[in-house]
Amino acid sequence: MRGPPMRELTLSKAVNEAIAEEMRRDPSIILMGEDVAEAGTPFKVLSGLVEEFGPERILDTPISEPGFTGIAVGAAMTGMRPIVDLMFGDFLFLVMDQLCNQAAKTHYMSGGKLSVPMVLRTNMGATRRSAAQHSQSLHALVAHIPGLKVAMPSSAYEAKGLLKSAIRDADPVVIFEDKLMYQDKAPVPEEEYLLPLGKAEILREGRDISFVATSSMRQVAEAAAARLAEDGVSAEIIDPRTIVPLDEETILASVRKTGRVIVIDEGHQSFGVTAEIAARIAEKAFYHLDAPVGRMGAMDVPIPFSPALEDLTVPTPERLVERAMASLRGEPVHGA
Amino acid sequence: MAHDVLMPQLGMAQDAGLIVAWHKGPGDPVAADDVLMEVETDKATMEVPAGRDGVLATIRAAAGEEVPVGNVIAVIAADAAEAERVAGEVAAASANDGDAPVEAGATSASPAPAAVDAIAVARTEGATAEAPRPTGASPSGNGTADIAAPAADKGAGPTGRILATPKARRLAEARGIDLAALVGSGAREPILYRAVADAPDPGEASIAAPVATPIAASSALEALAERSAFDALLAEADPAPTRAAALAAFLAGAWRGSRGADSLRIAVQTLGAPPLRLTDPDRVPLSRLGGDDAAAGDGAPDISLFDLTESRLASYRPAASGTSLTLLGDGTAFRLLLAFDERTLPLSEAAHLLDELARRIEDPIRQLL
Repeated sequence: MRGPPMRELTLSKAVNEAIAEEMRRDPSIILMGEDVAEAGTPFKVLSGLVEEFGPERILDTPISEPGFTGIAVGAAMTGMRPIVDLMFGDFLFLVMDQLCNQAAKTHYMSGGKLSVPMVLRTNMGATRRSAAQHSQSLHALVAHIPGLKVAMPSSAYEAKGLLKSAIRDADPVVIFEDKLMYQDKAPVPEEEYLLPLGKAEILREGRDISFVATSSMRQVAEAAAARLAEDGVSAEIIDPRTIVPLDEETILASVRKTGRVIVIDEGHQSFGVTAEIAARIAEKAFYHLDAPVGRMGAMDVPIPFSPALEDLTVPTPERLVERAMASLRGEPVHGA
Repeated sequence: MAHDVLMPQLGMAQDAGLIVAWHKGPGDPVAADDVLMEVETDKATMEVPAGRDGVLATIRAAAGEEVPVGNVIAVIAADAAEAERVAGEVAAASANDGDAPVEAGATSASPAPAAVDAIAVARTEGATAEAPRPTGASPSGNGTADIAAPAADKGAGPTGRILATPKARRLAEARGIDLAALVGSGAREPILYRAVADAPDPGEASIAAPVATPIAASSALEALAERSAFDALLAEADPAPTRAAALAAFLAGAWRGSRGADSLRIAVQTLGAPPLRLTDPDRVPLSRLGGDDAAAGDGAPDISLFDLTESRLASYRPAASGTSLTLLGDGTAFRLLLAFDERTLPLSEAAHLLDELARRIEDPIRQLL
């Protein structure tokens, strides 16, 4: 990111900008969801949009996630480009039919005659003391369904660039923003830019161990890498940016270089994103591995409401440093 | 299938119950409705039914005992045969750990009231599911979560397979390095890429074929010496000499003690320090070894000393003829490799020298006297 003039933006503002820019460019874009217009969402991400685009394009819906998601799927099939705002990622369970049975399969089942260019924006991330039904990171659930793309921005810069690409994409894209990062700032170019879906980014180059970190786990990986650097350990950090499509080549190239890798993701560890990425590495870079592929996900428990317990369930820089050192020492690695 | 009978919760605030009496004994057939025992809480005494048909296999809490709610107090087996087996297992278990049967079940069945237990369970499951079993050694029975197990030092294990990472194995194959030989020369398992990369080419060094070493023109002897006493001595000296210089002094002492000599010149090499020449270092106090007293004599050294301890190097065989001593090893022991030419240093004398040196390192008083 050298060259173009930058300013510091919050992730929240970056998302807002992406939507505003795209809506100015393309009149077929509408946005719908609960509390998106007057309230601008509980996280104030969409503040000001209804003033500019009016209630015809920024639609406050009743509290019926299946209802408005179904409307969006239909609108997308018939020429609109809807952006659906799902207030909490946990509500994905309510829209599974619309998303997974309808949006994901329409293009395929219509023999390519229909497509569903919609975006479902939602969030993820624990440690906000929101308890078990408002803290989940459910991206693995939709990543499992062919026909859906899944983006996981790791800062304001990615949030804006990926969302603009998602809006322009011909297929349904689900984008997960970590709700703890809405106020985090990052340099964002003044001028317009897009980030391609399916292209990972090497955030930090290193030679001893690779961290593949999604969304806010980027911050965990960066903090761990900084601490490891003090001990002379050079960690490389890869941000996949989108898990569907997954930029396997960038990940595998990094592992071939370092021989060690830990995959960090905030979804539950079992049957999740860490498992998928670890499996691909084991399949495709096995002979380059100098240690077992490590995984760190959220503990396999409902997210506790107790702050002390909640903090234990997510990956932390301390635990990542520990795991990395064990890997470097050649110890077999256990545990979540 | 055997069924655990738990201390029931008979009142809202009850956390334990007193067993008043058992109405059935081990071996008795029971029906679900049969009264199994009487339990007294702070409010009342109640008759507790068996809850299922079967044979009472074992009782784990005697009448008169107070037992926390949720603990196993008895086991009901499906039939007499199973009851016998369960009773036998319980007896064996209690014989093993000296605990009464009631203790054996005491911790396993406590109720899980909160997320803490959920977390503990999840962690344990995670650890068990992920525990690697490369050597065929049984995974740790307790499933202690979240702890990286130490590397399997014993290696090969019952299967005889050497533990090496895929990357290390690939390089070993490409370079023609025998992993078994690497282990034989002290490499830790699992063997990592670095250990293979650092190993000398098999054609040039003893490492690939330690058994074949004696074929070479120069002979080799190896000794092990526990180093704590030596390290302590070094730490006491003020100023402390370098380890290599002190070892040179011990070597000179051992040489003089075993073979006699007027003057001894020792060339000392260590990693990351310039080479050093010492003359008769055993005749200088340890604290003055760093000064000029033992410095440089001219002429060819009688023996070369290479201190490679605390490096990752696993072996060294000098190409030049002459006598040389290489020190390898870890924090607890030195490996002393003596390379010599039997024409100038007969085997018996070499063996004596090396043995004496190892003894001096282990027991420095032999040097100081």
